Amino acid sequence: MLSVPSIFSSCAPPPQPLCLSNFPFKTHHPNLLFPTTTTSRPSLLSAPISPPLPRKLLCRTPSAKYVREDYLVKKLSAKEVQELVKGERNVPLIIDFYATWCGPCILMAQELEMLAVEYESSALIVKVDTDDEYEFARDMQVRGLPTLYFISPDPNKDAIRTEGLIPIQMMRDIIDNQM
Amino acid sequence: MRALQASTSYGGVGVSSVVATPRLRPRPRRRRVILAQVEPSEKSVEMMRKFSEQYARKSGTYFCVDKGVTSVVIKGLADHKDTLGAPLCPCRHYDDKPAEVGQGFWNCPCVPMRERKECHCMLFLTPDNDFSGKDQTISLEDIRETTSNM
Repeated sequence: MLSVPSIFSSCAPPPQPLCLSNFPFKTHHPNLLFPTTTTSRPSLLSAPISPPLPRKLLCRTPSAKYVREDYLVKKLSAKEVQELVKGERNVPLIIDFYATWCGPCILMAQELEMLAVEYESSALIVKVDTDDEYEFARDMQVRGLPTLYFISPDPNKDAIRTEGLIPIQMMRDIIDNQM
Repeated sequence: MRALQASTSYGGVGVSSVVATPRLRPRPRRRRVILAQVEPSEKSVEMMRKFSEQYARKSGTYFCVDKGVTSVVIKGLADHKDTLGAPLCPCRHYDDKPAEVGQGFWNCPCVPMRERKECHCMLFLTPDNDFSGKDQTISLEDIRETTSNM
């Protein structure tokens, strides 16, 4: 019996991948899209007496990306994935092809986050938005979503591909036994 | 606005001419991520919501226990309805979307659903499915709430 972790409810275990309220305006990395914003200057709101500095933005610009840096499973471009596949690796690589408005992809993303926590650095899990990387998804013959590719570090082994939502245990089995 | 106060206190002199008229656009207090894609229109979402309820009733299927999945798929259908004119299945990747719309196989309700009640989007679930809930209805409020953080 497969349990359905409802990532949309407040009872979901942290981190809640899609819940913005847990991460209001914290940033751990400089936002490269808007270099005018700095986090090192004193905020005008909290230091009224200090000399006012010319500032355009008083709050952190919301990231234009759907996936924030806090997620373990990173969204990569086609080029980055191709480099990963070609490059040297000693851990299995799991690529999740998804789309924004695909419901099962969201459940899969939650499962993959849990898997990423479990496997830490023993497996590399990344995701690719098929709406952004159209040609790459076409070249990889992605049809149903979500599609997972399990690529072994051993270049002699074939990659394994699954389509649709699969139980987390199946993913563990593939990583442990087939890679 | 605090920002306005900050700019008027800068120097204090001769700034009034600069800041007299400009009023910063009030920032919405919503904490939303700006999507790369535009959200589907309310009208399409409502249309697809009604269609989903009606088709679930007609086919004897139920929505997922996790209403978030249902909401996302409904929005996906609405998005395709807006961009392509037909609710193409959002859980597939297509080489040529307009051609697929013309062909009709994956227009919701798709052929696998019509023939075998197989919905891989998990929108319409048969009662024996592990993920199947008990509802054949979903409100617009539910859809908004569960997708508000997307």
